[in-house]
Amino acid sequence: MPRVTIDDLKKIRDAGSRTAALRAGEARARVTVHLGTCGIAAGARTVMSALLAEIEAQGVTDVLIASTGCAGLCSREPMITVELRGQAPVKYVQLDPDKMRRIFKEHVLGGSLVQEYALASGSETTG
Amino acid sequence: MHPSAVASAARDRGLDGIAVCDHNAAGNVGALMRAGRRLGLGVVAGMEITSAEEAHVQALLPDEAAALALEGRVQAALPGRNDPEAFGLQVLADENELVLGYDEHFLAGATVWSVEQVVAEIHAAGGLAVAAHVDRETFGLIGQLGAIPERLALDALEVASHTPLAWARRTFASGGQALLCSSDAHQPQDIARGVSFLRMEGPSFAELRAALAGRDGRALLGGGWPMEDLALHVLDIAQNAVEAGARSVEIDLREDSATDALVIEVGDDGPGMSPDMVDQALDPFFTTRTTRKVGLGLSLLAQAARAAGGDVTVESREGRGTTVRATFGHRHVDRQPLGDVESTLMVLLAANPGVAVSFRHQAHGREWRLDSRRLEEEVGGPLASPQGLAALRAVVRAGEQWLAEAGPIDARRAGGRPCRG
Repeated sequence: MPRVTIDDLKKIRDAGSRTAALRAGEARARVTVHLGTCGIAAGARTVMSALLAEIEAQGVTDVLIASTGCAGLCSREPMITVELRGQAPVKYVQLDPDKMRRIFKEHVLGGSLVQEYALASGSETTG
Repeated sequence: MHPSAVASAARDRGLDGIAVCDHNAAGNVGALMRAGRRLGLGVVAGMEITSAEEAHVQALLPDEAAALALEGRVQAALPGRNDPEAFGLQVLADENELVLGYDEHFLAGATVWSVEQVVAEIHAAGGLAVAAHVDRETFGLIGQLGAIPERLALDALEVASHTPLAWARRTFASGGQALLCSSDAHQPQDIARGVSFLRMEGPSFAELRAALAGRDGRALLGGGWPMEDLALHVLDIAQNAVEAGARSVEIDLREDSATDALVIEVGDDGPGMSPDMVDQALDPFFTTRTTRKVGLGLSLLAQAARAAGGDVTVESREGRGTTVRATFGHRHVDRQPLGDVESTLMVLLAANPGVAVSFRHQAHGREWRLDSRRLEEEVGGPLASPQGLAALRAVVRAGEQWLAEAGPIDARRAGGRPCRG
């Protein structure tokens, strides 16, 4: 019997979460928080706590929450990825609770990108 | 740059000194030094010079005059003009925030100097040459050249991201080079995210030079970007298990003041590790050579445990799962606080709806438990929903409160900010 690798398991899980998002249908967005060691050391817990507090306080029921690991940009953590239904995912970098709250309000709920905090293409190399 | 804002941010965060290292420019050095003096903050003059290979080397310089003289040579070797539309205005300001002018050079660009020339120029100016952020993918010496050239007469290396210093030392500074940890702050809010501890008379260039050379009783003691508390380690180990494919995670915290022990156990039903992989996971040098994903968190936990008179053991069977057990001296002066259990559990459970998490916390002869599946059933839906989060918070708060009531007042549990390092 062929052995199942970690990558296989990851693919299965990722596919699972994608289907769940599609099945949910009414979800307006998915917010993925990068919870690798680098993200956690940089403050991902406080960023995600701020996100959860907004969801709870505003009674938001149509935003899916997910987590992922290291994206290879350790020095730009904490990071999240915001996917609005039918739109390309946007990564936000070097976040703190205030930036998270603003992204939640303006992008996740309001639908407009917060350019200042987004990872612009090519900007991985500044710095 | 706003010199006084930078100086107050550094002062507010408890720093004794900073070095100011603009890219290929020193026009703001004097203003920042004067703003620092007003607040009792030591400011060392400096500049981050980009070599022709696009590697960044920091110059730490004796004074403003040396910085300005070197700036003149750097900018003569720096082609191009700044395009404010693309790169923003490069403002020169004084310590009262008055704009004095704009630097017109293309400061984001590279000089025509090789790294060897950059280091020679810095030394000729009486300065110290530091290889900047060697742990970065880009613009560090290793990132750009693949390795640190052996003949390069560097005075120190700098790490500037979430790299544990012990690992960085073994990976980058095996030749015994001084290793500085800094925030590489580009914005005031980044200041003091990474710090270095030095033993010296005061935060001046002369003292810094002696400390980096280990002369006259001065020394570079250490530094870093630590995990803030033990609950963060728990989150990290559990999240790693989930990343590896675990569907069930058991977390057990046992505090026993009679035996002065704190034990953290995280078990999972993931794919497990071979004995070789376990050894590698506890050895940061080995595992992080290819990827930071596996093992870095475990080696960080092992460092935290060993610093507090304990250790980490890993039991793992391929196909069955892994149990990580970390022990700490409960009252050990270097034990990190347990920290924020509530937000740790909320984040872990909300982020992983597909994973069954069971949690148990024992202390002062009491214990409380949480089972994510049972809580989901009770809530009648996912925990990352307004009702789920409210229920989760209520349960965790009640459990932690129940334990705290039985114990003595414990400042370590209050979640106060621990000492860095």
